[in-house]
Amino acid sequence: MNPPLSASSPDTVLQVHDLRMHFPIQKGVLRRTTGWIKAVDGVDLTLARGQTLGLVGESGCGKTTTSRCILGGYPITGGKVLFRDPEVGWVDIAQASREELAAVRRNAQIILQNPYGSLNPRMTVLDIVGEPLLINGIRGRSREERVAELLSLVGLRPEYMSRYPHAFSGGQRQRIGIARALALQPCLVICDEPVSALDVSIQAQILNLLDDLQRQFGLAYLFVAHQLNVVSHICDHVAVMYVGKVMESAPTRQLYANPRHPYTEALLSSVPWPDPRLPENEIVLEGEVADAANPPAGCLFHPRCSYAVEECRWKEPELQVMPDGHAVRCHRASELDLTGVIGQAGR
Amino acid sequence: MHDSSTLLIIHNLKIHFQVRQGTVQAVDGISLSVMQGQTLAIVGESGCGKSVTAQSILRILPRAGRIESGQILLAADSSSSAEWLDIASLDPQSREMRHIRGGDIGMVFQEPMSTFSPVYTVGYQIEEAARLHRTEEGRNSKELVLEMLVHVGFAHPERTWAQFPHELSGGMLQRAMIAMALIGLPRLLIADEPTTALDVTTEAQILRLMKRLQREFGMSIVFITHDLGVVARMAEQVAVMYLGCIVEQGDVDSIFHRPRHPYLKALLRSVPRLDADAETVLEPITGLVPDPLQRPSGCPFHPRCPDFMPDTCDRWEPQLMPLEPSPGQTRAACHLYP
Repeated sequence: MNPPLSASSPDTVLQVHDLRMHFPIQKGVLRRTTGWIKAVDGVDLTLARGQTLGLVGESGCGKTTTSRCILGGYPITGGKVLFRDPEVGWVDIAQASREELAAVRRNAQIILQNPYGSLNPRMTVLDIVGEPLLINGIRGRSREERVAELLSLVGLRPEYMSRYPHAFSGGQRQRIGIARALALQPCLVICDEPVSALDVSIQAQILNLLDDLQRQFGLAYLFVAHQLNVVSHICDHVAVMYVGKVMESAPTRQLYANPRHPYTEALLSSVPWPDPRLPENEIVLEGEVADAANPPAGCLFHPRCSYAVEECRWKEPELQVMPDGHAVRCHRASELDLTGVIGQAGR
Repeated sequence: MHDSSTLLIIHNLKIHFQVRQGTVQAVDGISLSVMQGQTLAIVGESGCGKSVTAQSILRILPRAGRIESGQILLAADSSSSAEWLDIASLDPQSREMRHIRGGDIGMVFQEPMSTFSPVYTVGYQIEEAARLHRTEEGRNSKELVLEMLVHVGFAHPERTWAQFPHELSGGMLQRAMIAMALIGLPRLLIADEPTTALDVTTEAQILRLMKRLQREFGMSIVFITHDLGVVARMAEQVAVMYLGCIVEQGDVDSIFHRPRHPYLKALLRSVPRLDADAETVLEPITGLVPDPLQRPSGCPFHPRCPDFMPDTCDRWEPQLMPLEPSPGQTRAACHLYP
């Protein structure tokens, strides 16, 4: 039993504190370590029951690595991942015993991005959705009944239980993946880009389904995505990551309407709006995402930032929490007046 | 429609795929035209036939696919005596077609990582295209490549020339692919989901680059995408496809601000918006895209359509008809609009 780190509400299910995950770069025949890729470098997150926390950023920013670390997928380099398990109470994932980990793996589940690669083509839907049940000792008729129940919950016909994944479309496969994640009635579900492989019309179906399931079961979602318009729909709170660090974190409406970090402003402005009448005023960032193996000195974003001043080149900003709960990692956060989505759309 | 500023006309094009279970009508009689210097976006969900249409213009259809009927007319350049050249009637392997492919028409694909060969340098691969299509100028082909690399935004073209594809990021490689597509100075550029694999900030860079190059080179673009936001930013004309048919076609403003076809209306409503609040419920399109082997009778969209009229929509296939006189020549294929 680990107590939570700081004062947390009784509904808190996940606390990530100063999470670091560094991967070694090995070179030569002796595989000597010549450097480190700081994939995740000091991430703090808190998630409560019934809430959705969005983790957004470009590819390589460490959002997927963060979610893997939370599920105990990597031996973390530093920091703490605390999960409140309904069976065994607070568990520190990095130091959990076998029994504790087994409980965590029942109660924290993941929905994966690729609905084609994440389902075994040789297993029937019954076997896929029923496998977690089997492992936890639910067999025979009661397993079939539970799978049927799960399938109708996600909007698939229970008769399809004996079919193989190839018989389903992308959207239907994603529903199978959701049924599998919900099989053991978890309290935390990590959604790793659950809709980015789907067509728009199907995307909306899956997002509405996730929303319904959350209301019904009080699930906590950690929603990892790169599509900012999807995130604005489903998340209560959003954390923006850049090269392994959280740059800004705030309630969704607040972050979208009044971003305080130049990177968030640029991200929001680059999303193409489905309206040809809007003026083209996206902020086109020059250059490339910084290299996590060789990050720039000072603020990680300064080489691409149009607001950068001398200080940004040598001094790394801390994540400062504003009185309204808006956290931002920028030296000039309080003086800049950045444009959010409402301003950009002119409505 | 057939005035001098039209570059490409597709007339009643039908493409069939022979698969084990039968014949798939991937493209079922579409007609389009592309104006000189303009961008036509073909938008639709997966399986609607938009990529197949693009491939047929270059005659690079997969083996199972065949142009069943119809014409793809490319306006001849000044050197030719005939006015129009029917690409659909050419042999895909003929000298003439090989001259058009990469010469008159360039192409940018979705996955830059798998389009370049991993064993040759980026510069060598672009130069190959230059040697094939820029012969008459008598200039050093490497010089042409370096010039083009500067055009697409590489600060150190000499260095990029000698790099292998794995040494470049996705966005950089997409720029290199655009350089390769443009090295033959094409009159028409076909871009098949060129930014789908990229991050939003890189996507913004590439879209802006394509617009700038279009102005500089005066070429037309056929832009294939599923992203309505990208369509709004890039296109002058839009064709919306569903199950191999064009369901609505018009200028970009009427497509977004006066959509007529129920499919297009539903598609626009199902896009999550950045400014929506958490309480907004998305309106998805009910049901699934039908199996192409079992196309619905009548209008292909009728099983999912909110405005379905029994005995009409499931019996007669609607034709693409011009709507009331409008400057954009909007056309929709729906029984709601006589």
